Amino acid sequence: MPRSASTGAPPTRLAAALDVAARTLVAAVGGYAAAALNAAGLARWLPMPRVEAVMTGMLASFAVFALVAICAFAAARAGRVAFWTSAYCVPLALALYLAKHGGVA
Amino acid sequence: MMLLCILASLAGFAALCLGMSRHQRDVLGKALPAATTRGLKVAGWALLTASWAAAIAGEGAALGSVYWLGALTLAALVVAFSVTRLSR
Amino acid sequence: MKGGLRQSMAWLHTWVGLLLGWLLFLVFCTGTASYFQDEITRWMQPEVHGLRDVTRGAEGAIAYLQKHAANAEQWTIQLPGHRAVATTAFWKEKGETFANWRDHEFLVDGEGHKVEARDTLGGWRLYRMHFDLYYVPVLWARWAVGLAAMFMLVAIISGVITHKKIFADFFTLRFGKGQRSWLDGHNLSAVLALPFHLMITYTGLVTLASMYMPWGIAAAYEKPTQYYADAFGTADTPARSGHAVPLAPIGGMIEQARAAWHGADPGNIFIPVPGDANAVVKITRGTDEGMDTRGETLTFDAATGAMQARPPARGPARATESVMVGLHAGRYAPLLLRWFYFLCGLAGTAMVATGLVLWTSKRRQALPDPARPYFGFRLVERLNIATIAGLPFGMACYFLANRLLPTGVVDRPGWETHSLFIGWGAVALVACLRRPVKRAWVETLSVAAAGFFAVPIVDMMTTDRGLFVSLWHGDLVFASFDLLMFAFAALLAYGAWKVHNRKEAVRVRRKKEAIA
Repeated sequence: MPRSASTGAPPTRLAAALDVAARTLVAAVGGYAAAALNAAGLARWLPMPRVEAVMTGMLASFAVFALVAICAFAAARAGRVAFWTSAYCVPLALALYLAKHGGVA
Repeated sequence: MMLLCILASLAGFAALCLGMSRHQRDVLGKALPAATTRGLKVAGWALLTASWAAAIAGEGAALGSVYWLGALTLAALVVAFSVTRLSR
Repeated sequence: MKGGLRQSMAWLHTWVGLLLGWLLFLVFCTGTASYFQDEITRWMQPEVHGLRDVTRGAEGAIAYLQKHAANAEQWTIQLPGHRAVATTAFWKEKGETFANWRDHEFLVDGEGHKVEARDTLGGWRLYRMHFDLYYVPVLWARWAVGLAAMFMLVAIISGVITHKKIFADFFTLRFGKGQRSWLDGHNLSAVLALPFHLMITYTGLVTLASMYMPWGIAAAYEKPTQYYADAFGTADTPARSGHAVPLAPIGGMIEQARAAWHGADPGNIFIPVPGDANAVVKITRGTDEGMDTRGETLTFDAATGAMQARPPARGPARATESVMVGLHAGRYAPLLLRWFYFLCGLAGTAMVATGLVLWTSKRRQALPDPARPYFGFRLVERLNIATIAGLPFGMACYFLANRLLPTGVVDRPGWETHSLFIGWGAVALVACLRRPVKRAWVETLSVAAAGFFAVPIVDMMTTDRGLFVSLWHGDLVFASFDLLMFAFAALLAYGAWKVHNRKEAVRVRRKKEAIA
């Protein structure tokens, strides 16, 4: 079981299942979102020919995905990873949206 | 050169393996003196480095390194299976 | 809290490894076989003899195309790599798509003559199955395989964190100790080929990165086609002028290409609007000519044979991608290195298989009632047998079908592939129905062993290129293939024998427990 199960009072089956579901969600959705946004950000802003920037973002993306997925299960609480992933993703997504549609950068 | 690389990695892993007390017990039936164990470890790492050098000398840095990793896997498997066979 | 981290990583490793483990086994099996894709194709087309000759193959193909497909929309000629013999060529009529390409396909040998070989997709089918699967839409299959690869990446990382005594256990393999032996086997096949496993998983994701991770393209380009043109060059078809102009000799263009590539051979020739004044000849370097597998494409004027300006060199990111894809597919690998690749692929297959068995082995002791395991346990147990014994048997059936199916059968390549799945399905059925589990293992592994044993025998009976003839003529490709089949038969038979003997060991242990 992921870590929260091993700390404190013995969790109920439901609590354990919810914990696993939350971690899986953070790993899959958060991991993919972070990887995708990271790839898009690098593609947009790396100072090199854009085809190279796109490729760099792609090559790096799977490492980002794996990192978030591992952290989602390694951390003491799933919520913490969700917070940090969002803290990375949301501003980046906003900046990308503005860059693409708002005429900034 | 590749033959040298394979032989060196085989010898290297064999030395490293014999430098471990568990395998000394299993294969030789006794523990080797500390100095010999240390010597085996040093020789093992030196031989693995030499096998890399041989691969690079034969095939160049990029291709040689890929060869070397393949040779390491082969050599380690051979040593592991031999140790299992030789264990008492 | 070190124990906590290790515990959660062990949990993650267990479930990430199990969930798509059976799919990973298929990916590893077919992928490992694909390192000998060209050799498999040669074995499956015993009618193709002789040696490879790129120029004569291309000339022969063009002569045939000029005679039979003068008005086609496009000609494509796939030249043999260093380990292949036959040139494959096909054309596309107006209005057809590439889905029809096999409708107008033919083979040319190293002397430039068209050969009538049995209709087969050879090793290519196994290679495509490695990421396209079969019977499912290609896009779904690739997403499924990509997900499995991502799981694998996470499983590798979490596995390394979990494995406490990675160096102390480096050479340790204890036989005949149940769960402990499975763990040793799993650790050994994983750790000793770890560089390969990491490389193969990551680069595998990279091969289809623009499908899995297209967001960078969307962020930097208006249209994806612009990106693909920048990254891999365009395949734009020139407009027809309507004036017929004969094609300049292809041999001269191949020579120019070789000179430009310092002697490397071309791998593919693409000629849109052949015979027209606007036609061009696009020659791409062979994928097996270097670790960077994406070779340069040179364009020639079809009428004059003059080379057009070369495309600009690739930047570092694209060069890295090309090397990563090259490392994954191993097309550049010379013979010895190819065997290293094959060995590591086998280690990967063994890692997945032992991991799957380990899941049941670990839980068997803890079962509340060993005679009646819960549903999930039985499911995993049976799926393991169905996959680990079934898929190899299916692959043996694929080779057997190649020798036994009559040449006139409609959709012969399709039926060869169906044979794989029919054989696999039959074993899966036995795996599910036979009781007890040990008996199911013994029987399915024996059947798989018999299947591989039959391949060289049937080859000997149905072709003039059996094992003894091949050995006599020094035909190493055919001889190695047949010997490898015997080796796999022996391996599977050994497995069956081991399981058969273990049955008694368990019974003895039970007796001892009963006495105690």
